[in-house]
Amino acid sequence: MKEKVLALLKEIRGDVDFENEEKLIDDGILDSFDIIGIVSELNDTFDIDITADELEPENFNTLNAIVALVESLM
Amino acid sequence: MVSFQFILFSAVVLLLYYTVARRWQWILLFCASIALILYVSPKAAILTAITTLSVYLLGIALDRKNEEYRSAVAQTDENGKKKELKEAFRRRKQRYVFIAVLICLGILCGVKLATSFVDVLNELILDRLGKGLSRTDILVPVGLSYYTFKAIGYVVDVYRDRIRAQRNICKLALFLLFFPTLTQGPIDRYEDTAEQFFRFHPFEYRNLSFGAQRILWGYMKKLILAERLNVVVNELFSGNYQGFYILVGALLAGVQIYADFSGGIDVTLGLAECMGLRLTENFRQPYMAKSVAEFWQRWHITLGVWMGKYVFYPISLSKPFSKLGRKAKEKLGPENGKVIAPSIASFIVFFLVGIWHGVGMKYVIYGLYQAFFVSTNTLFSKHYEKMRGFFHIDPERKSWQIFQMIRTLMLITIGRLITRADSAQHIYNLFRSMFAEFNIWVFFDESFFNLGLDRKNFFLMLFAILILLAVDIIKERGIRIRETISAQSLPVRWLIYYLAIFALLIFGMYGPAFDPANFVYGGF
Repeated sequence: MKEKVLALLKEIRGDVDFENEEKLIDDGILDSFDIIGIVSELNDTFDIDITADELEPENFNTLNAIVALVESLM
Repeated sequence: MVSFQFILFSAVVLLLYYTVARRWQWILLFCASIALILYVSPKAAILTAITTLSVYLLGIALDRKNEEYRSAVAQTDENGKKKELKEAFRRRKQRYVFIAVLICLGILCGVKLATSFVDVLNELILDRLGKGLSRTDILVPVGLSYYTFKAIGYVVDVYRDRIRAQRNICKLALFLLFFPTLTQGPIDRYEDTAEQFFRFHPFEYRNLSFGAQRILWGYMKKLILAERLNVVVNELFSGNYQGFYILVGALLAGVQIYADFSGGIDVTLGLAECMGLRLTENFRQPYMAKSVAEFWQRWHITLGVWMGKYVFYPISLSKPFSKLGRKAKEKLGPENGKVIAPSIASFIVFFLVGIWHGVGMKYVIYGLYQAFFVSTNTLFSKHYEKMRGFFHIDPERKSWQIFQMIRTLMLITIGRLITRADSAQHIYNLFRSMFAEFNIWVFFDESFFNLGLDRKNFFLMLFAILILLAVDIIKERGIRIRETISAQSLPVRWLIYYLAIFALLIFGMYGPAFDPANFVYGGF
């Protein structure tokens, strides 16, 4: 799961060190267009429904948080 | 907020806050806020009450649904059943949140439309009959936009189960209507700021000193700089000037709105700080932005965050937009296709921000203009990178970064021209007049001293702009100015305070003979 999410993230922003960054949102590393791209890819790949309700920094600040979010919606 | 009454009112509240009202500080602030609303707009306060009461009641109803959902989920282990429950509760909750948003937006839009309608009606009929209505004939509650945004944010956050509903309506009202925030925000989020209002805050010298410094700085920006700029900018856009005058006018208009708006926010945040309260920052050196997208992350931050959370993301991730995104990716390829849906969503956001400032065709143009730069930023980023590589430009280089800042400033300045115009035709005229004459000599002769400010005042204005710029550069470097001042020895510290106070008293444009313009964002 984690590898799959990581590959998907790398596809969208290859320049970001997703494994070590802890503040992807708080430090502005991902912008709103990246987030929309990531969420729509996650929704399509894992057949889940991440809505605006889940779009809080704590769900996207780290790779682990993103994986946890995906798992909670599966 | 610049009136003597407001300053006196705030001083009295502050005094009571730390003396007789020590044990019930939040009740004092609640009463002060309500008193101010009743004083400024007594009749329209009914609209304020309707908004407050509806988000209060619907917030509690949503909170109950959240609780019911939690206990229902706790009783089942099945994943499929949990999903079903979530969907069922979401649909039920959506009804409540829809009603709340409808009431809040209904009042906001109703009042906004009514005021625009008065203008149109006057222009068409009433003025000719000599019976022109004034905008004040419409019930406009003080702080309408700002508390409405906060109220919607609150109720949606309860719906999203991020916060518990506030069970005390007076406490909720204080969060929505805290008097320093009524004129121009910031648009705080409940979860970030509300709880501190209800705690006891003992008197601390540091809070008072830092807060007072910030208030002083805010008034300096407003009364020394923004008021002077107001004179010059109004003259330059009076229709009698062209060529470089218009360019300078647009640049100065940008500084004016910055000094005016951020000055007002400094007063608000400073006043709150005096009470030991921390509100959300609204500006982060906007003119140091290196792209238009970044500018909007540094300018009117709380509105941007609000728009992102409650408009941009819900639209971009809605079913029709997700579908559109998928189709765009099929047709245009993943790289270009992925920006289509969020680009349209960001156009909608800028359009909404535009019509919030006023109704008119020019805001459609303004929305398109801003959204174009925000979305192309992502769309062309790879091409920009290649271009930089081709020209051997190091993006970390200072000179390149300064170039980017100036480029952003120019793009924002052109955007400012759009909002300065009265109509779409006027936008065209302004642009045309900018290039109608190559009057570069205006920079070298005495032309600028005939724009309503004499030579002395004009230079004072330029000097003030330089100070503002210097302060922003210092802040951008991460130096905390107030901490630095407080680390100085007592005489140096007081020398700085005295200089600031005297500068404000001597150079500030106020007093019985001068009527300071209202805060620009107070009108929204």
